[in-house]
Amino acid sequence: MIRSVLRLLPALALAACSGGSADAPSPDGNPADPAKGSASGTRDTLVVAYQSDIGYLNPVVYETAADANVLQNITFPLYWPEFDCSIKKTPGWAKSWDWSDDGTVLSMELRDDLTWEDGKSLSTEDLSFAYELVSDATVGSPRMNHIEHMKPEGRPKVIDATHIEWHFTHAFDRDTQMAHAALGAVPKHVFGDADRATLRGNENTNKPVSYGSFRLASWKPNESFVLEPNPNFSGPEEFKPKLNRVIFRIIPEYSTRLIELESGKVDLMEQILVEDADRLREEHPEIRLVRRGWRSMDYVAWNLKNPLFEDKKVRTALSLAMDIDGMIEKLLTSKSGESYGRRSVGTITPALCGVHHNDLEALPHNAEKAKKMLAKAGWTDSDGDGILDKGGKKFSFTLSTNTGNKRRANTAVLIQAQLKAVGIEVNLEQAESNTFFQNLRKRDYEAALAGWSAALFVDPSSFWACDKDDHKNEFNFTGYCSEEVDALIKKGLSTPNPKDAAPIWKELQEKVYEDQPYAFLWWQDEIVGVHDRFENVTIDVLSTLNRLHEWEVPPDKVKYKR
Amino acid sequence: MLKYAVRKLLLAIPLILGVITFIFILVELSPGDVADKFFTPETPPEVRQAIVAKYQLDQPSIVRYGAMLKNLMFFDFGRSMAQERPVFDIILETLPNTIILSAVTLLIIYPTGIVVGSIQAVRHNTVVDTSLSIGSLLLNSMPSFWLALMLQLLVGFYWAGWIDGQVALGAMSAEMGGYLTLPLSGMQDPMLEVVGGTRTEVIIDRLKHLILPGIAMGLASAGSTARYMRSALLETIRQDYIRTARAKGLREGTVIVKHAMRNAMLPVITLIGLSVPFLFSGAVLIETVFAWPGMGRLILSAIYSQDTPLMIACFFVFTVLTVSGNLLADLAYAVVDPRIKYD
Amino acid sequence: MTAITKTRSDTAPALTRAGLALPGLGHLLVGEWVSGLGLFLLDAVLVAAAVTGFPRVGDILFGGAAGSMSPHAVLALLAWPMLAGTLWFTAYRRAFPRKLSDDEFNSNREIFLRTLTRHRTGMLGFYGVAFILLVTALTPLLAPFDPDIVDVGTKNLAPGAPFYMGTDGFGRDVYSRLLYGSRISLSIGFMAVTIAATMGTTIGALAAFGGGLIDRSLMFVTDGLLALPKLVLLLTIVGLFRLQGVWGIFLIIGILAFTGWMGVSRIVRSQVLSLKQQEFVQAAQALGLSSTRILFRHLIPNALAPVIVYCSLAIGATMLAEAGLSFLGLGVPPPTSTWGVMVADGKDALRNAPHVAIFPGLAIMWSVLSFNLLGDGLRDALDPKLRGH
Repeated sequence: MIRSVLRLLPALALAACSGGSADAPSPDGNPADPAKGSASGTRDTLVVAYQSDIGYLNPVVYETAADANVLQNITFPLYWPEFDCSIKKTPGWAKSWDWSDDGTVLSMELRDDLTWEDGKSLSTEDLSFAYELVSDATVGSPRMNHIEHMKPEGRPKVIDATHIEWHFTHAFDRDTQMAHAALGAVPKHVFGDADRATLRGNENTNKPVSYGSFRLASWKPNESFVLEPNPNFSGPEEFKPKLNRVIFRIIPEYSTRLIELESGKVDLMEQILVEDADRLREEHPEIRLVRRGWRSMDYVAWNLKNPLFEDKKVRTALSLAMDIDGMIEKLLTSKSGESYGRRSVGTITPALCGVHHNDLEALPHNAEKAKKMLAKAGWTDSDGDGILDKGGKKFSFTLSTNTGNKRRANTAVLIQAQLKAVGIEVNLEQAESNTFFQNLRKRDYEAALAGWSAALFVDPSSFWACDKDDHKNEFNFTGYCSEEVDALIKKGLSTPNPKDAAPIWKELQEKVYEDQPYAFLWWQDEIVGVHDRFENVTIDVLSTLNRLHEWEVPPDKVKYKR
Repeated sequence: MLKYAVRKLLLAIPLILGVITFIFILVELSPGDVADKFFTPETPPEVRQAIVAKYQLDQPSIVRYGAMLKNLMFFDFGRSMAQERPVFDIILETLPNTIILSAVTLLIIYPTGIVVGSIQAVRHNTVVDTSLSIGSLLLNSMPSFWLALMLQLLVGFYWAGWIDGQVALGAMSAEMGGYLTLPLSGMQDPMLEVVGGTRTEVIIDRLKHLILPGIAMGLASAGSTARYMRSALLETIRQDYIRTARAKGLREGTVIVKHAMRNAMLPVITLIGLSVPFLFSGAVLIETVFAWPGMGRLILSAIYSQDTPLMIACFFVFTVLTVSGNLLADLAYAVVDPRIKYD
Repeated sequence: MTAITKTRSDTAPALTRAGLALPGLGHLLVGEWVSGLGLFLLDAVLVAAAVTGFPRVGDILFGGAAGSMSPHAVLALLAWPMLAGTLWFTAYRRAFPRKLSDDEFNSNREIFLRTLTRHRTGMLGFYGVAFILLVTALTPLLAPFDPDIVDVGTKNLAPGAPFYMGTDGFGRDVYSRLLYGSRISLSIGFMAVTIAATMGTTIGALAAFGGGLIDRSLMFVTDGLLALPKLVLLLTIVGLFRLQGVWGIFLIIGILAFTGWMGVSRIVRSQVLSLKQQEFVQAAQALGLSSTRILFRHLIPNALAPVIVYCSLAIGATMLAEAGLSFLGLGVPPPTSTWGVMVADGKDALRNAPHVAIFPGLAIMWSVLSFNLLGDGLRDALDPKLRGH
């Protein structure tokens, strides 16, 4: 280890020159050829301001949004989704797919012309290898729910180099089945012998081998990472990028990101605050503001094991005490009156218009009724200190949320004030995202203000399927358990036809909403700002950056000519 | 001289040991299980075992302490929980960045402070003196992150706006506008890195990125340095030997620079050495605002993600740097002041 | 007999009597503009408090949560006449100074007061601090709105009547929040510094008095902690011990104190070391007084002067440190609102609503500046070399 100390010295000396970086390898070991695509400045560069860095660039273990965005572009998905109340699919790597009559076997034919950037051919083995890793408990993949409903011999079953099958334990919603089958491939020739337990820390994890339109050209931890067109992409012509590169700059402070966007140094920024939307529209017509609708929702989870929250009526009273519409107006409505939020009545997004229960009425704000309900449940202020109590115990709990989310921090403060008005004492606590979610999963919290980025296929089992103890449902943070709902879930999941399943899901939404395991707050639009010289930009409920290969800039508007 | 240096060095070691003990006590006392501090629920059992063995987590405190000492002494910082990489690598990447920023402050801002303070002393009680005093007082009273945010706003909005205006009017070429534009965050332009610029371009780019964070970090320090230099120089000037020098007919310039300043600088140099900790403290706030990828931001993210190995290592590195800074200041002082006896 | 050879008169110029009508006027008319303007400033606070507060006395007194009397409000109402009286008395004393005997005139106390009052920047600081303290005491009279009630106005409103400093992101009145925040920010500053000073004084005195091993070990600990970058130490402790609610505030005060006592201990130690040699200590020891008695009744009081100076400077530094912690999200937990928290809240809205962050930032600046200037003044006044000017 003394050698490590000696390593320090030249690093310091070279600090002015290199500043430390981790370059991804190219097939021939040389940095990407700068001459490519820079001919006469007809192609541009996209600069994105990102809040956090890459975590692990592996489809099996990735966790952050940055990871997801990069992976989307360095892999060639099985199908290209488009969203219109549900996901429409265009063939990608999968040329075609079909179901068996009983709906339990999904078979696909894959293209045979795709290769990894190092030249090796992409085959079904690589796709199957990804699932092998997911199934292996030592890897600890957060995607284990993908294989939950697959039979061990069919997850997946490789028929030959281009044919593959997934065998499910039962027939259920086909969009969900497709989603479960659509993990990215992991190169067996690179990771085949890798130690599974330390997969995340494997040196090749963040030097991924691409098989998509882009490749990761460089990564300076905590500073920036760059995607460049994959010169060895062997797929169809229309998937070849029309940009020179995409640079992601990691800037943790919101106001710094905003000022970089406004001064033109950065072309794209996500999660722009509602307060800034109006001003941007007025002062910066060159920045296009796009709404990504109803993809994420905020909620307060009640830990149902906590005696305070055992009673459904108490939980309902808590929601009544909150002025949710008022909060939407305060936090999600711009000065000019444009609203970027709507009431949530469940975990199914309104974007899934066929399935979402549009008629379910959200609880109004009624502090008086809340007080009455609490009183009926035995909560009174017997000692005159302004806080309700029952049997010597005060109605006081800690509401935790994660750091780094201004809107949630503000929401917590508002909720604290609103509940105080009915005699409930709320202490606020913030924990860093990873720790926060860990605590949620361990059910080590009292009440938690958190959010979901909703899936675009219906699968309420991860939230509401009964899970009293063994945490198979990692996302059932509340410990919710209802026989009725379980039955509905089962029924719904085994109804392959979405139209038939819709009424079942609506009934489920009603039941869950009535039980109030969460105080359901709202769905919000995300506001993304893009410089308007970029055309063919698809930013929608599915994602911001999953079709980067289509983005282009007309030659007369190119900003970064090199 | 050598003996003096060695003696000071030897004294520094128990200091560092003391600090390590302190952080160990802190970690031991802090709430939460050991399990949460060193691994996550996802950590596979073999890895868990390895970590337990390395840090002797299942042994009594004394043994754990010994294990920690051993690890730190050999710079074996372990693996970061959040980043799943060796902590040493992470620190290796970020430390140079903090040092660059601190170096700018040390090499540019402090001498500026000394010069300004000297001017103030020489022009004692004039308008120049008073306004500079007020200025440095104001700067010292501002929260440094506030100053940083204001600077960013000023440059990003007003300065950039002015440049755009000039370019639009044709009073300035777009190229010149480009040169004058100051970057608002980060350490370098990723574009240059990717596209490949000339050596000069890269250096100029790096320097430009240093300007705002350097000014933000340095202004307050420059202010206090100037104040100390001013009072030190004023006191020195009043001394008899300066009168003698003047009476001897030496030029005012020589008197001030060659005699007065040299003596006045001594306490100022010690002060600079002592303010190394402040540099690192300030680094945290400035690095956050300017997205500078340095140790300040690193320790912050270690704290946010409760990444104990990284926290301990960062703390240790900061301490070593600070103690070294003080040591260097002591040695510099000894070199400059002939009155110090080395015994 | 007297050391001072300057002549002094026991009467003040007639113009100073103008101060009896309006404190400060007298000072201005004789050219003492710092005191004059300072007193005017304080007058303005009293007048503002009266104008905005007296008509609402009933509300203010009984507007508490359960209709009970708010102690702060009672204090404010009692303080107003006392403060007004003090100001008037200051003006009176300027016009009709006390007749002092030669001995009194040359006493340490009088010399100290004279040096201090003549130190212009020190007095600037003094009035700055007095302003803040006055405002804090009279807050219930001055603040038009309850600082915690959301939505008194549209959010992020620019300054203008009736929201003199605009509203923040929750629609709360920034001016009222600034006033009520002063109480907390100052309390945190004062408490942290007081605890630090007490700890530091005890340790420093013990070290100096004890000598030998005690001295070396205590100083080792002191120097060790001094070697640590303060903010990093603060962050690490906060990061490891995340306490909520009221405990969180105490944690912040505690760690701010914990990172501040070292300076005091070094000062006290060097003071006591030099005092130890002096005759009165040896006399006391000869008389058989116990060590503790000597320590507490003789050494420490004499060592306190530089400690007071240091404390004054330290309050400013503590307030800045607290603001820094809040900016990073690791400061006082909600719902308490210090000025630091207000700046942190406003930092994302800098482009839209800069006033939300600027006013608390200015408040912090004003406080830190005033305490620093006052500290400078105190230091010069207590420094024997500069006395008797």
